[in-house]
Amino acid sequence: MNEVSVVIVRSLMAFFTLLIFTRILGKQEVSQLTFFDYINGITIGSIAASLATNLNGRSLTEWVGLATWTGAVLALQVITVKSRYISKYINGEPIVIIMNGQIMETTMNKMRYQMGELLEQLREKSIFDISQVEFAVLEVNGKLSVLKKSSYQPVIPKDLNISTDYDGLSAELIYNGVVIEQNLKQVNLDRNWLEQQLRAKGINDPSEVMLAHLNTKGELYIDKYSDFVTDSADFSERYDPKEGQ
Amino acid sequence: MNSEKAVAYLLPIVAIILFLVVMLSPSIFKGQGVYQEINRLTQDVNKEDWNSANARLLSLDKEWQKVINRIQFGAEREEINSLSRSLARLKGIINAEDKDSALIELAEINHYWLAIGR
Repeated sequence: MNEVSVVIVRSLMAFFTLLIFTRILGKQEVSQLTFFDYINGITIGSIAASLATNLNGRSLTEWVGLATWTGAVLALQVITVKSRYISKYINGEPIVIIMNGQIMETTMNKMRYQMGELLEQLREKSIFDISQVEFAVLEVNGKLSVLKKSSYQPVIPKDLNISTDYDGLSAELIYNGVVIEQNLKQVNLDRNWLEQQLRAKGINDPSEVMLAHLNTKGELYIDKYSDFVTDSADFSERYDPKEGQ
Repeated sequence: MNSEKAVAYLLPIVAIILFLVVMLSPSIFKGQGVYQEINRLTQDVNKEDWNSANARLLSLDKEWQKVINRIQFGAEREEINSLSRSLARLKGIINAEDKDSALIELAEINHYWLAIGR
Protein backbone atom coordinates (compact mmCIF):
# COMPACT_ATOMS: atom_id res chain seq x y z
CA MET A 1 0.00 0.00 0.00
CA ASN A 2 1.45 3.32 -1.05
CA GLU A 3 0.39 5.81 1.62
CA VAL A 4 1.37 8.84 -0.46
CA SER A 5 -0.94 7.87 -3.32
CA VAL A 6 -3.75 7.16 -0.82
CA VAL A 7 -3.29 10.62 0.73
CA ILE A 8 -3.30 12.22 -2.76
CA VAL A 9 -6.55 10.48 -3.75
CA ARG A 10 -8.22 11.23 -0.40
CA SER A 11 -7.06 14.86 -0.48
CA LEU A 12 -8.54 15.34 -3.95
CA MET A 13 -11.82 13.79 -2.80
CA ALA A 14 -11.89 16.04 0.29
CA PHE A 15 -11.00 19.13 -1.73
CA PHE A 16 -13.68 18.71 -4.38
CA THR A 17 -16.28 17.53 -1.85
CA LEU A 18 -15.62 20.68 0.17
CA LEU A 19 -15.89 22.78 -2.99
CA ILE A 20 -19.25 21.21 -3.92
CA PHE A 21 -20.64 21.42 -0.37
CA THR A 22 -19.63 25.05 0.14
CA ARG A 23 -21.28 25.93 -3.19
CA ILE A 24 -24.44 24.19 -1.97
CA LEU A 25 -24.33 26.18 1.29
CA GLY A 26 -24.31 29.38 -0.75
CA LYS A 27 -22.61 32.71 -0.59
CA GLN A 28 -22.15 34.27 2.77
CA GLU A 29 -19.40 36.75 3.42
CA VAL A 30 -17.04 35.83 6.21
CA SER A 31 -17.78 39.21 7.83
CA GLN A 32 -21.50 38.36 7.89
CA LEU A 33 -21.08 35.01 9.61
CA THR A 34 -22.51 34.56 13.06
CA PHE A 35 -20.36 32.88 15.70
CA PHE A 36 -22.26 29.62 15.12
CA ASP A 37 -21.68 29.81 11.32
CA TYR A 38 -18.01 30.42 11.98
CA ILE A 39 -17.71 27.36 14.24
CA ASN A 40 -19.61 25.27 11.67
CA GLY A 41 -17.15 26.35 8.98
CA ILE A 42 -14.19 25.37 11.13
CA THR A 43 -15.74 21.99 11.98
CA ILE A 44 -16.55 21.17 8.34
CA GLY A 45 -12.98 22.12 7.36
CA SER A 46 -11.58 19.99 10.17
CA ILE A 47 -13.59 16.93 9.07
CA ALA A 48 -12.41 17.46 5.47
CA ALA A 49 -8.79 17.62 6.69
CA SER A 50 -9.33 14.39 8.59
CA LEU A 51 -10.79 12.77 5.45
CA ALA A 52 -7.65 13.78 3.55
CA THR A 53 -4.92 12.67 5.93
CA ASN A 54 -6.32 10.40 8.65
CA LEU A 55 -5.61 7.01 7.07
CA ASN A 56 -6.68 5.21 10.25
CA GLY A 57 -10.31 6.11 9.56
CA ARG A 58 -12.43 4.79 6.71
CA SER A 59 -12.84 7.49 4.08
CA LEU A 60 -16.57 6.77 3.84
CA THR A 61 -17.24 7.41 7.54
CA GLU A 62 -15.34 10.71 7.43
CA TRP A 63 -17.16 11.69 4.23
CA VAL A 64 -20.53 10.84 5.79
CA GLY A 65 -19.61 13.06 8.76
CA LEU A 66 -18.83 15.88 6.36
CA ALA A 67 -22.07 15.37 4.45
CA THR A 68 -24.13 15.16 7.66
CA TRP A 69 -22.64 18.36 9.05
CA THR A 70 -23.19 20.18 5.75
CA GLY A 71 -26.74 18.80 5.58
CA ALA A 72 -27.48 20.04 9.11
CA VAL A 73 -26.16 23.53 8.28
CA LEU A 74 -28.19 23.55 5.06
CA ALA A 75 -31.34 22.42 6.91
CA LEU A 76 -30.87 25.22 9.47
CA GLN A 77 -30.39 27.73 6.64
CA VAL A 78 -33.64 26.62 4.99
CA ILE A 79 -35.56 26.65 8.28
CA THR A 80 -34.28 30.09 9.31
CA VAL A 81 -35.18 31.54 5.89
CA LYS A 82 -38.72 30.13 6.14
CA SER A 83 -39.43 30.99 9.77
CA ARG A 84 -38.62 34.36 11.26
CA TYR A 85 -39.33 33.06 14.75
CA ILE A 86 -36.92 30.11 14.43
CA SER A 87 -34.35 32.40 12.81
CA LYS A 88 -34.49 34.70 15.83
CA TYR A 89 -34.38 31.70 18.20
CA ILE A 90 -31.29 30.23 16.51
CA ASN A 91 -29.35 33.29 15.39
CA GLY A 92 -30.47 35.74 18.05
CA GLU A 93 -31.65 39.29 17.45
CA PRO A 94 -29.95 42.63 16.95
CA ILE A 95 -29.69 44.44 20.29
CA VAL A 96 -29.96 48.20 20.81
CA ILE A 97 -26.88 49.30 22.77
CA ILE A 98 -27.33 53.08 22.51
CA MET A 99 -30.85 54.51 22.36
CA ASN A 100 -31.46 58.25 21.92
CA GLY A 101 -27.86 58.87 22.97
CA GLN A 102 -28.23 56.78 26.17
CA ILE A 103 -26.04 53.70 26.73
CA MET A 104 -28.14 50.65 27.70
CA GLU A 105 -25.91 49.23 30.45
CA THR A 106 -28.38 46.50 31.50
CA THR A 107 -28.61 45.17 27.94
CA MET A 108 -24.83 45.33 27.62
CA ASN A 109 -24.36 43.30 30.79
CA LYS A 110 -26.93 40.77 29.61
CA MET A 111 -25.03 40.35 26.33
CA ARG A 112 -21.66 40.32 28.17
CA TYR A 113 -20.66 43.18 25.89
CA GLN A 114 -18.00 45.41 27.38
CA MET A 115 -17.74 49.19 27.26
CA GLY A 116 -14.24 48.87 25.78
CA GLU A 117 -15.63 46.83 22.88
CA LEU A 118 -18.34 49.44 22.26
CA LEU A 119 -15.81 52.30 22.19
CA GLU A 120 -13.51 50.27 19.92
CA GLN A 121 -16.31 49.51 17.45
CA LEU A 122 -17.34 53.17 17.45
CA ARG A 123 -13.75 54.23 16.76
CA GLU A 124 -13.65 51.77 13.84
CA LYS A 125 -16.54 53.80 12.44
CA SER A 126 -14.54 57.03 12.95
CA ILE A 127 -16.65 58.07 15.95
CA PHE A 128 -14.43 59.25 18.78
CA ASP A 129 -17.12 61.20 20.62
CA ILE A 130 -19.93 59.01 21.93
CA SER A 131 -22.23 62.05 22.22
CA GLN A 132 -22.52 62.05 18.39
CA VAL A 133 -24.41 58.74 18.49
CA GLU A 134 -28.20 58.62 18.43
CA PHE A 135 -28.61 54.84 18.02
CA ALA A 136 -26.16 51.94 18.05
CA VAL A 137 -27.32 48.41 17.33
CA LEU A 138 -25.23 45.31 17.97
CA GLU A 139 -25.97 43.03 15.02
CA VAL A 140 -26.26 39.24 15.14
CA ASN A 141 -22.78 38.88 13.57
CA GLY A 142 -21.25 41.03 16.34
CA LYS A 143 -20.86 44.18 14.23
CA LEU A 144 -22.11 47.54 15.43
CA SER A 145 -24.47 49.59 13.25
CA VAL A 146 -24.51 53.27 14.17
CA LEU A 147 -26.94 56.09 13.42
CA LYS A 148 -25.36 59.45 14.18
CA LYS A 149 -27.39 62.38 15.50
CA SER A 150 -28.77 64.37 12.57
CA SER A 151 -26.50 67.33 13.36
CA TYR A 152 -23.45 65.10 12.84
CA GLN A 153 -24.57 63.49 9.59
CA PRO A 154 -22.89 64.56 6.34
CA VAL A 155 -24.77 66.78 3.91
CA ILE A 156 -26.03 64.97 0.82
CA PRO A 157 -27.11 66.52 -2.54
CA LYS A 158 -30.78 66.03 -1.59
CA ASP A 159 -30.37 68.29 1.48
CA LEU A 160 -29.21 71.07 -0.85
CA ASN A 161 -31.87 70.33 -3.50
CA ILE A 162 -29.18 69.58 -6.08
CA SER A 163 -30.27 67.33 -8.92
CA THR A 164 -27.91 64.45 -9.72
CA ASP A 165 -27.45 62.24 -12.78
CA TYR A 166 -28.46 58.60 -12.75
CA ASP A 167 -25.57 56.38 -11.76
CA GLY A 168 -25.94 52.65 -12.43
CA LEU A 169 -23.76 49.64 -13.02
CA SER A 170 -20.96 49.82 -15.57
CA ALA A 171 -20.86 47.23 -18.36
CA GLU A 172 -17.63 45.35 -18.98
CA LEU A 173 -17.05 45.35 -22.73
CA ILE A 174 -13.53 43.87 -22.90
CA TYR A 175 -12.02 41.61 -20.28
CA ASN A 176 -8.52 40.14 -20.65
CA GLY A 177 -8.46 41.14 -24.32
CA VAL A 178 -11.75 39.38 -25.12
CA VAL A 179 -14.80 41.36 -26.26
CA ILE A 180 -17.88 40.39 -24.23
CA GLU A 181 -20.52 40.42 -26.97
CA GLN A 182 -23.38 39.71 -24.55
CA ASN A 183 -22.68 42.93 -22.58
CA LEU A 184 -22.32 44.93 -25.82
CA LYS A 185 -25.79 43.75 -26.87
CA GLN A 186 -27.25 44.64 -23.47
CA VAL A 187 -26.17 48.26 -23.84
CA ASN A 188 -27.47 48.33 -27.45
CA LEU A 189 -24.03 48.75 -29.01
CA ASP A 190 -22.07 46.64 -31.46
CA ARG A 191 -18.52 45.60 -32.20
CA ASN A 192 -18.11 48.27 -34.91
CA TRP A 193 -18.81 51.01 -32.37
CA LEU A 194 -16.33 49.50 -29.94
CA GLU A 195 -13.60 49.13 -32.57
CA GLN A 196 -14.19 52.74 -33.62
CA GLN A 197 -13.76 53.89 -30.01
CA LEU A 198 -10.60 51.84 -29.65
CA ARG A 199 -9.11 53.24 -32.91
CA ALA A 200 -9.83 56.76 -31.64
CA LYS A 201 -7.56 55.96 -28.69
CA GLY A 202 -4.89 54.46 -30.95
CA ILE A 203 -5.76 50.84 -30.24
CA ASN A 204 -5.95 48.57 -33.29
CA ASP A 205 -7.03 45.33 -31.65
CA PRO A 206 -9.17 44.50 -28.56
CA SER A 207 -6.50 41.99 -27.52
CA GLU A 208 -4.32 44.99 -26.52
CA VAL A 209 -6.91 45.94 -23.89
CA MET A 210 -6.94 44.43 -20.42
CA LEU A 211 -10.23 46.03 -19.32
CA ALA A 212 -12.78 48.28 -20.98
CA HIS A 213 -16.03 49.25 -19.34
CA LEU A 214 -18.79 51.67 -20.15
CA ASN A 215 -20.51 53.62 -17.38
CA THR A 216 -24.10 54.82 -17.41
CA LYS A 217 -22.96 58.28 -18.52
CA GLY A 218 -21.64 56.70 -21.73
CA GLU A 219 -17.98 57.17 -20.79
CA LEU A 220 -15.67 54.38 -21.91
CA TYR A 221 -12.82 53.48 -19.56
CA ILE A 222 -9.94 51.63 -21.19
CA ASP A 223 -6.91 50.04 -19.57
CA LYS A 224 -4.30 48.60 -21.92
CA TYR A 225 -1.85 45.80 -21.19
CA SER A 226 1.06 48.10 -22.06
CA ASP A 227 1.25 50.87 -19.49
CA PHE A 228 3.31 53.94 -20.15
CA VAL A 229 4.14 54.75 -16.56
CA THR A 230 7.89 55.30 -16.47
CA ASP A 231 8.37 55.81 -12.75
CA SER A 232 5.76 53.82 -10.87
CA ALA A 233 5.44 54.44 -7.14
CA ASP A 234 7.12 51.68 -5.15
CA PHE A 235 5.80 51.22 -1.64
CA SER A 236 7.59 47.95 -1.13
CA GLU A 237 9.57 47.50 2.07
CA ARG A 238 11.42 44.47 0.86
CA TYR A 239 14.76 46.26 0.90
CA ASP A 240 16.50 47.44 3.99
CA PRO A 241 16.76 51.26 3.75
CA LYS A 242 20.12 51.07 5.55
CA GLU A 243 21.57 49.12 2.63
CA GLY A 244 21.02 52.04 0.29
CA GLN A 245 22.99 54.43 2.51
CA MET B 1 -32.29 23.47 -19.36
CA ASN B 2 -29.43 24.39 -21.68
CA SER B 3 -26.38 22.17 -22.05
CA GLU B 4 -24.11 24.49 -20.04
CA LYS B 5 -26.46 24.38 -17.05
CA ALA B 6 -26.86 20.62 -17.39
CA VAL B 7 -23.06 20.19 -17.25
CA ALA B 8 -22.89 22.52 -14.21
CA TYR B 9 -25.33 20.27 -12.37
CA LEU B 10 -24.04 16.95 -13.71
CA LEU B 11 -20.38 17.58 -12.93
CA PRO B 12 -20.72 17.65 -9.12
CA ILE B 13 -23.20 14.74 -9.20
CA VAL B 14 -20.78 12.62 -11.25
CA ALA B 15 -17.90 13.66 -8.96
CA ILE B 16 -19.81 12.65 -5.84
CA ILE B 17 -20.83 9.30 -7.37
CA LEU B 18 -17.18 8.69 -8.29
CA PHE B 19 -16.06 9.56 -4.75
CA LEU B 20 -18.68 7.22 -3.28
CA VAL B 21 -17.48 4.37 -5.52
CA VAL B 22 -13.87 4.99 -4.38
CA MET B 23 -14.94 5.16 -0.73
CA LEU B 24 -17.08 2.03 -1.02
CA SER B 25 -14.28 0.20 -2.83
CA PRO B 26 -13.61 -2.11 0.16
CA SER B 27 -17.15 -3.50 -0.10
CA ILE B 28 -17.43 -3.36 -3.90
CA PHE B 29 -13.98 -4.59 -4.99
CA LYS B 30 -13.11 -6.92 -2.09
CA GLY B 31 -14.14 -9.98 -4.04
CA GLN B 32 -14.15 -13.59 -2.79
CA GLY B 33 -10.60 -14.66 -3.74
CA VAL B 34 -9.00 -14.11 -0.34
CA TYR B 35 -11.96 -15.69 1.49
CA GLN B 36 -11.74 -18.84 -0.67
CA GLU B 37 -7.99 -19.07 -0.13
CA ILE B 38 -8.47 -18.75 3.67
CA ASN B 39 -10.99 -21.62 3.62
CA ARG B 40 -8.74 -23.86 1.49
CA LEU B 41 -5.74 -23.07 3.72
CA THR B 42 -7.82 -23.93 6.81
CA GLN B 43 -8.62 -27.33 5.24
CA ASP B 44 -4.92 -27.95 4.51
CA VAL B 45 -3.96 -27.03 8.10
CA ASN B 46 -6.70 -29.30 9.48
CA LYS B 47 -5.31 -32.16 7.37
CA GLU B 48 -1.79 -31.12 8.45
CA ASP B 49 -0.78 -31.10 4.78
CA TRP B 50 2.07 -28.57 5.32
CA ASN B 51 3.44 -28.64 1.74
CA SER B 52 0.05 -27.76 0.33
CA ALA B 53 -0.48 -25.21 3.14
CA ASN B 54 2.80 -23.46 2.24
CA ALA B 55 1.81 -23.21 -1.43
CA ARG B 56 -1.70 -22.06 -0.46
CA LEU B 57 -0.28 -19.36 1.83
CA LEU B 58 1.74 -17.97 -1.07
CA SER B 59 -1.33 -17.76 -3.29
CA LEU B 60 -3.32 -16.22 -0.38
CA ASP B 61 -0.62 -13.56 0.06
CA LYS B 62 -0.60 -12.88 -3.71
CA GLU B 63 -4.38 -12.55 -3.76
CA TRP B 64 -4.29 -10.25 -0.70
CA GLN B 65 -1.73 -7.93 -2.37
CA LYS B 66 -4.09 -7.60 -5.38
CA VAL B 67 -7.01 -6.77 -3.08
CA ILE B 68 -4.96 -4.12 -1.22
CA ASN B 69 -4.45 -2.23 -4.49
CA ARG B 70 -8.19 -2.23 -5.10
CA ILE B 71 -9.39 -1.24 -1.63
CA GLN B 72 -6.59 0.99 -0.26
CA PHE B 73 -8.37 4.31 -0.97
CA GLY B 74 -11.46 3.41 1.04
CA ALA B 75 -10.26 1.02 3.74
CA GLU B 76 -8.71 1.82 7.10
CA ARG B 77 -4.94 1.52 7.03
CA GLU B 78 -5.04 -0.36 10.35
CA GLU B 79 -7.45 -2.97 8.92
CA ILE B 80 -5.05 -3.64 6.04
CA ASN B 81 -1.95 -3.65 8.26
CA SER B 82 -3.55 -6.01 10.81
CA LEU B 83 -4.35 -8.59 8.16
CA SER B 84 -0.87 -8.26 6.61
CA ARG B 85 0.76 -8.71 10.04
CA SER B 86 -1.38 -11.77 10.75
CA LEU B 87 -0.37 -13.29 7.40
CA ALA B 88 3.31 -12.77 8.25
CA ARG B 89 2.80 -14.54 11.58
CA LEU B 90 0.93 -17.39 9.86
CA LYS B 91 3.91 -17.90 7.55
CA GLY B 92 6.15 -18.64 10.56
CA ILE B 93 3.54 -20.86 12.19
CA ILE B 94 3.11 -22.97 9.03
CA ASN B 95 6.90 -23.28 8.69
CA ALA B 96 6.93 -24.54 12.30
CA GLU B 97 4.07 -26.90 11.39
CA ASP B 98 2.07 -25.84 14.48
CA LYS B 99 -1.56 -26.78 13.77
CA ASP B 100 -3.16 -25.14 16.84
CA SER B 101 -1.46 -21.76 16.37
CA ALA B 102 -2.15 -21.85 12.62
CA LEU B 103 -5.88 -22.34 13.24
CA ILE B 104 -5.92 -19.48 15.77
CA GLU B 105 -4.14 -17.19 13.31
CA LEU B 106 -6.47 -18.24 10.46
CA ALA B 107 -9.49 -17.39 12.62
CA GLU B 108 -8.00 -13.96 13.25
CA ILE B 109 -7.29 -13.42 9.53
CA ASN B 110 -10.86 -14.41 8.77
CA HIS B 111 -12.09 -11.88 11.36
CA TYR B 112 -10.03 -9.07 9.81
CA TRP B 113 -11.19 -10.05 6.35
CA LEU B 114 -14.87 -9.90 7.29
CA ALA B 115 -14.37 -6.52 9.00
CA ILE B 116 -12.95 -4.90 5.85
CA GLY B 117 -15.58 -2.75 4.17
CA ARG B 118 -18.29 -3.58 6.71
